[in-house]
Amino acid sequence: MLRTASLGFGYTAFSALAHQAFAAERAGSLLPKAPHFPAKAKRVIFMFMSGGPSHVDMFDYKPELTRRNGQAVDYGRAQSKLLQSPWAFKQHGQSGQWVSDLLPHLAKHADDLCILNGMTTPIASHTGGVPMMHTGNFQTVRPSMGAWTLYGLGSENQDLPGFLAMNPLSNLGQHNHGSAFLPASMQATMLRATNGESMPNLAPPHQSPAQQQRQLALLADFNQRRLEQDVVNNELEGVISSYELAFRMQSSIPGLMDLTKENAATLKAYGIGGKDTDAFGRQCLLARRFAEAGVRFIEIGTDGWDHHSSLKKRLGDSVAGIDQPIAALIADLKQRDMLKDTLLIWGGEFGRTPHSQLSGGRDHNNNGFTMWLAGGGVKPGHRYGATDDIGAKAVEGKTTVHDLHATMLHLLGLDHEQLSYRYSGRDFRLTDSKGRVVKEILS
Amino acid sequence: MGKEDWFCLPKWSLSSSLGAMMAAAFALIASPVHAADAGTEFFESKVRPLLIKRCYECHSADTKQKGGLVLDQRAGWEAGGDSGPALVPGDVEKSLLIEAVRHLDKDLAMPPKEKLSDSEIATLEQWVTMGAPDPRNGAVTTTKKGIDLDEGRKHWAFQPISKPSVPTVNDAKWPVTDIDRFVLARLGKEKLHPVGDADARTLIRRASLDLLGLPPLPDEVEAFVEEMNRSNGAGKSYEQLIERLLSSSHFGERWGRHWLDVARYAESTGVNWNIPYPVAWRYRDYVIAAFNADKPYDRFLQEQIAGDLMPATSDSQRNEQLIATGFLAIGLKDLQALTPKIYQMDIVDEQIAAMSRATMALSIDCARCHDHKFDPIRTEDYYALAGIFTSTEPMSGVMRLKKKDLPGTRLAALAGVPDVMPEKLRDDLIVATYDAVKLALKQRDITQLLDKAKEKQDSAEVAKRETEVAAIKAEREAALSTFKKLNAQDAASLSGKAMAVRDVRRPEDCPVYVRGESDRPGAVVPRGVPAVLTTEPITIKPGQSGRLELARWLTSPQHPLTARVMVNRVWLHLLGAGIVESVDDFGKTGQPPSHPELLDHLAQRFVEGGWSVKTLIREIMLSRVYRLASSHDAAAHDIDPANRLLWRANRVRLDAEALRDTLLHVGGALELKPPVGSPVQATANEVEFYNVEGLFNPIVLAKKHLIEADKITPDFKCMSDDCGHVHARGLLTRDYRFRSVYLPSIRGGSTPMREVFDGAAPEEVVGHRAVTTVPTQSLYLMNSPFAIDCAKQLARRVYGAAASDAERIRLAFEYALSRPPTAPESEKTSAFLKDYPSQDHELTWTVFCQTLLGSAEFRYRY
Repeated sequence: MLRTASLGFGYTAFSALAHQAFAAERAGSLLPKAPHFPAKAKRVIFMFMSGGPSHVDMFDYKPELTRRNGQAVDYGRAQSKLLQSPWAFKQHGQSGQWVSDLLPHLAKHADDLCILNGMTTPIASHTGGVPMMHTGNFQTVRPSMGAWTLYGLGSENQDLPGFLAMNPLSNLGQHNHGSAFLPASMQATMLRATNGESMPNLAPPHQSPAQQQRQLALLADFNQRRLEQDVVNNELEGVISSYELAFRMQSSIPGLMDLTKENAATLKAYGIGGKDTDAFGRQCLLARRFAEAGVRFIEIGTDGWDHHSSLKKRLGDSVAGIDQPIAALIADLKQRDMLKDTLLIWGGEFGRTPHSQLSGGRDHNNNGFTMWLAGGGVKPGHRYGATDDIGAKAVEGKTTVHDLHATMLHLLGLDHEQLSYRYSGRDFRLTDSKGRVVKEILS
Repeated sequence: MGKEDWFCLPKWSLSSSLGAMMAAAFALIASPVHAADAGTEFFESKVRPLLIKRCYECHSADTKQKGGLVLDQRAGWEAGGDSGPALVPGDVEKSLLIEAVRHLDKDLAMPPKEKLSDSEIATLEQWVTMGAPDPRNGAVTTTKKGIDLDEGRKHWAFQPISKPSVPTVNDAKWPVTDIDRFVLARLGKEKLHPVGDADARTLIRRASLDLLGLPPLPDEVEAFVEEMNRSNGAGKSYEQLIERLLSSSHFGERWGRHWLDVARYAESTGVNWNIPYPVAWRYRDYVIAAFNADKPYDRFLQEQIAGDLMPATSDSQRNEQLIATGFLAIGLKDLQALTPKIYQMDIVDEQIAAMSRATMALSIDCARCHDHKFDPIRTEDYYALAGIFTSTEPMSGVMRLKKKDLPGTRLAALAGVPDVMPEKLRDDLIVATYDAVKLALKQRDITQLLDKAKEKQDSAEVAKRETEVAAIKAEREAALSTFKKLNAQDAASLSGKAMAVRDVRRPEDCPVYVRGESDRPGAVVPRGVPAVLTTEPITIKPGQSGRLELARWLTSPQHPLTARVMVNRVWLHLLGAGIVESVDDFGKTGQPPSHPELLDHLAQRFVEGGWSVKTLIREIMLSRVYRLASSHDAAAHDIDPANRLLWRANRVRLDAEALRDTLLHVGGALELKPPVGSPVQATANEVEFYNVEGLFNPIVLAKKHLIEADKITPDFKCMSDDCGHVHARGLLTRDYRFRSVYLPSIRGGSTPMREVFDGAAPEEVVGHRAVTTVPTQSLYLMNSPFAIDCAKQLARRVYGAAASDAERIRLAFEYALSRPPTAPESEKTSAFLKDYPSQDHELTWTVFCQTLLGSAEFRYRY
């Protein structure tokens, strides 16, 4: 009865529920669960760069591409010319990781990054690639990786959503953050966090907290009765938990979203107030605050990485928005000794071609691209996998999206083959029937 | 699949049929051996036999040309397939062919089924190392048929609509209509049984929400329940209910909204700049009226695609048909497109996407840069359609943000309405806007110089700059006043304008643009429709775009998709899930139908019955399947938890519009009379409004931010991303009281209800909205002034209407949930009213009513 006792709806709610044993074991419970084996990471911060960031301009150094700049390559009907990166690459840190000059701040953390240069994904369209990265499937609606994580581990803080998505890319489909057939309480709560505003409707304007508790007790009673009548109703259970959580968020969220509590140096480090960095800086700082507060899975991100043209200008602008904030986030997590059990994942739905398109842009490339991980149990200052000489396709240490998901779950202490959900007579997994834990990158 | 898919898909594509890649025989056309050198000899003795034996079956000019690769000519491997040249002479490691035969990479492994022997692989390696000597001459004769149309036609959705016989069922008593027989027969196969029927209260609430998006009021419910009881369900009261609902003017507001979702209806361009469409609402009203009038669906589609080309006998009919083509004009437009050609081709693409997804649930637009990955739609098919749309000019009242593009700014003039904004004035307006913008920027720059001079305390420079600033200020004010004057005139002219399309002066075919790049025209393809869906090409009347022929083809009774797709959409909105779950994808990646015969049965009757949507709805609602209860059944749930086989009714979360309208309606606060026009138009001449909200003047193109120089940064950057949301907020969050379908629809921004309760984003065709359950929804119902106000209205209503608390409680339940409270619910409520800690009666009752409106039962239609 731990869960119902924690509701805070007062005596009435408690007694109304007390006789319903099943309530405590609701499928959608977000109470913490033990992992399958000891975990290296307790939480995930997924930084999603929507549109497909260009690996050969950031993390995948290709001198051969520079040498062959302008060389025609024939990819079927069209002839294209190879396009060298407008940015120079240098080695950084003890590890000597190659990072381009485009990322001066993040380069300082080269020794923290575990760079996966051999990523592949099956589809090169945004509408396919984005759900593939988020749910492991681009054809049907499946639970998102955050939902699976909650399903496996529950949440550490019952006063906050266990899965938060800031700056949600709603036009790409809610199902990227959805729970599909998993209990409705596993889906992400969306948060707009780019403009410094808090979440709307966080306080009752017409009644006191005590009055509201009384109201919510009555509401819980109505809803429970309806649930008894329906017998099985996943969505209704979702409604019930969403009210309970909403009530608790009224007290938990305002403080967490109030960045005025942070000192000026921190704000500056994250680039908050900076022309380019303010929006993503806020997301990064909020991500740290929510991570600290026990949110299990946090997705932050920016869009506009689909640089089909004017790469030099536009990719430069995009990176300017994220470079400093991410570096600050890594430093901050380290300083708080949280990097060791926070898994950072950075990447887009695919990468970009070595050849050019339109005026100085690059096209989609799903055959080889880069993502990086940091913290929570991955080798720091490490590089795994490689693309060919020009960055066109992965040739070594190929890592599929399923592999990435399997590895993420592994780091969280979950066996991706065991973490399944029986639905419609079949056991479903985040990794479908595939996925390999990339042991080579585990620390 | 197109060759260029190299960069889009796993190298050898997703096709699992790769398996067949290298197996059948090939009639070798012997080519003469030229030089008897060692290389040629090696080729002839070792390599050619190997290629014939193991590769030609799939990779020869006369066979499948899998992956676009042929190996029976030298030019074949030189050109390579989808993945690029098959080999690099002399370089084994860079040769795809070698990589493939080594089976190191399972996506690439060739032959896929049976790996070559080590000695065979060694032969090929040696051959490549030798520089791949190959005496075979001759040009590549690949026909480059990435897509096999005959094979493609076999897909279930491209097959002609059949006329399935109605199955006989064991339980002859249960079915009421043929629909029931199809469903029951399918259930029977799994040994499942339908649950019982819904009770009268549930039924009238369900029917009313489904058809009108509004709940029945208590009197209606009581009357219906009484009649049903009296006739024991056997009378005509249910039929009469359906007729009453179908003939209500609110029917079109509900069902029109469903269509507006798939028509990606919005009142602004979206993406960059996000300029409003002030008269887009005429299209919205057209759609609502069409559903109310039960305009035959074939006619409805024809008008939207080619209404301007159809004969009309009156001004009003002409206007109606013209407004209908707004469907093609209201799409998303990137006014920052790099070139006029890109701008045009992006609009064409958006039109093809909207048309093909909305009507055929096909993503033909995926074939813009390469043959469709999954469906048998070739790039040529795309550009055949594109030619129809490049021969069509959108009249959206906006243009790309370059001065030289003046002609793109027209709106269509409605017949019989005087035009007070001739084209000349419109062009003047654009120039005036640019002047204002230019001067604003200039003023900003000089002011910066002035500030610098002040910092340096350079008094001479300060004086000079001050004079300049003053001069520019005056100039700018003059320009601004010209702009405002013309702008007001322009706004006034909107009463005679509509968004529409028209044929260009010289319609012509369009070239294939290589890889979708508008500066790389390839072969010109005749205008037409996708080959996989037709047996004979359409013949376009000379001098016309071809839209009329496209519309007729689309609505031909033989079209395999149009009727099926619409029937499925209607089914979704009545049963809660489509027979084809992927309502917007009837292609290969979509789901197959759960009841294929039923789908065809309905589609075929729909067409035969004259494409009447109301008839179709009536037919479905009269079935027993529609009237099932939503109750649980453990055995059925174990087998079919998603209820795909319809053993019960689906519970459906009210969509954003129905939820908002219902919240307002139960308290009597909903204005049922439709508003005239749209708030977006009402603001078209309020220059200051745009200043405040950050939206642009519709025709004028320039952002008001640019006109007011000091506001250029930092909002400027912000405007291009999701902050458009913030800027349009004032318009979107006003306290409107009319029905939700009339709320402003701004791309990149949402009304609060649409945002919180999963409304359709008008960026693309949305046939099936997502349904989320998240705490932000609960917070909205707990704390938003809107929800509280709706509760207060209901509290006042029930408090004033009855004398006793018991009676008031009953009424509140009846308004909110269409049923009286159960005894425990009454008790709990009485207890609540007693111990709610407040002396304020109205507050207590408001909070109670808010509780009902926040309940899960209120949020769902059972």
